This record gives sequence, structure tokens and C-alpha cells, in this order.
Amino acid sequence: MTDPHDTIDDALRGSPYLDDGNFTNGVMGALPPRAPRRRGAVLLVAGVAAGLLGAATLGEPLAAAFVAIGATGTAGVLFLGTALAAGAGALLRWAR
Amino acid sequence: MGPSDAELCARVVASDDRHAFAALVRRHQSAVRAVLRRLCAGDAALADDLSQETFVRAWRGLRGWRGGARFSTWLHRIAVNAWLSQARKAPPPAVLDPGVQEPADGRVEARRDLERAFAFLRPEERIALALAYAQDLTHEEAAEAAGWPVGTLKTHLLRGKEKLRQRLVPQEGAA
Repeated sequence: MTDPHDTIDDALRGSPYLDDGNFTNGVMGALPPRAPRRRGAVLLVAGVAAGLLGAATLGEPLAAAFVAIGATGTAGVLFLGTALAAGAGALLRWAR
Repeated sequence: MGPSDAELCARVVASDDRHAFAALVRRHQSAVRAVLRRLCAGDAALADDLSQETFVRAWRGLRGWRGGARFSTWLHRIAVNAWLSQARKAPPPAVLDPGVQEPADGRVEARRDLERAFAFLRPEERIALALAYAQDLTHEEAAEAAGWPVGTLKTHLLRGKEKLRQRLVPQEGAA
């Protein structure tokens, strides 16, 4: 397809390597900021919700403990299950 | 030889790994910038702005890249789209003002003449020539990056080369 003596073809092929310079740094600076890690926020909300549910169903002495431990986030998942179970139990008792 | 493009992309997608993305930018910046310099008819500043936009768009769209095409082909397609968007917003002047440029040797000056001559081509001819002579694309990949069949790429390529020849060869003879 190309003439071996085609000067235009030779010129088009002669694309030089472009030094990076500061280009990569510029691109990295233009990237959107890291998305906040949502896992921690979800755990925190779940923990607080579990604490509030526990408080509503188990009475005041345990309420503070549930809210406090639930708000630590990572323990929230564990306590969410407990609180849901307690809530379900309370609902059953109330239904009877 | 470092990790492949696919491995680096997987690290970016899995863990927001910016070092992996920087490695991709370093690896492909020259090819993308060279293509955009030709599309922008030698306007290096505009070409670098669009190159940066190309990589930022790639970052945002990386989760959608399924690996069906090579990463470089996909990247060139983004570059062409970035240029087309820009050209629609602000059509370039028929002839660019070269402005103040550093003195250059004959080869560099010839390259600048070639890039400036792209201003006289139709957009599809610019795209065909810029992609077909890109640093690491086959004609099939160039056609894929342009979104055309290979035959269409070759048609625009021949027309564009003929126009460049008419514009540049007499200058070479006169020099």
C-alpha cells in the first residue's frame, strides 16, 4: 500500500518519542479525589441503629452500652444481629 | 518488563491504585500526545490539554473497559473523541499561527511543517493519518479506534496523504 520512496510516508512514520516531562504528574493531579471509604460509614450507621434499637427494646441500662459499642463501627455488625434479635423478641412479646 | 496493561488496569479497578495508573500514563503518554499533536495540527499546548483529558476520562471509564480491545486502542479512541468534542466546540482556524517557537534543526522543522499541514485536512483524514501512523497501532486497531471499517480508514488515509503530498512536496523541492 505504501511506496518505499514516499517521503510523506517516511515523514508520517517518523513520530518521535515525547519525553514525559511533567505530564504524568499533571494527569495524576487532575484525577478526581479518592472516594471516601463508605464501608466504615455504613458500619457506623448500622452500629448506631443497632444501639438505638437495642435501647428501645432492652431498656435504659443496656441502651448506653449498645449505642457506645455500636458507634465503634466494626463492632456494629455484631451488635446489629443481637439488637435485631432482641427487637424481634420484643415484637413477639408485644404481639402476644 | 513490568506488569501488563491489563494487570495495571485490574489493580486500578480493584483498589484505586494510583501508582498503577501513573505507570499506564507514563507508558502511553508519548503515543497519545503524538496523535493529538497531529489532530491539533501542531498546537502542542492544546494537544497536551486534550491528552490530559484523555487520561482523566480513561480513569473514570476504566471499570467499563472489558479488555475486548487492547488498552492502547481504547485509549486512542478516547483521545479521538476528546479531540472531536473540542473541535465541535471551537473549530480550529484553517491555518494556525505558529507563534514564537524555538529554533529547530531541519528534522524538527519538517515535523512541525507536517503537523501544521494537518490543518488543511478534513477531520476524518486527520483521524485516519494520525491513528494509522500512531506509535503502536496496527491498521485494524486504528480502524477500531476510529470506529470505522478498515476499508474506510484506508480510503481516508489515501486521500489525506495525497493532500499532504500536494502541500508539502513542492516546499521540499524549493528548499
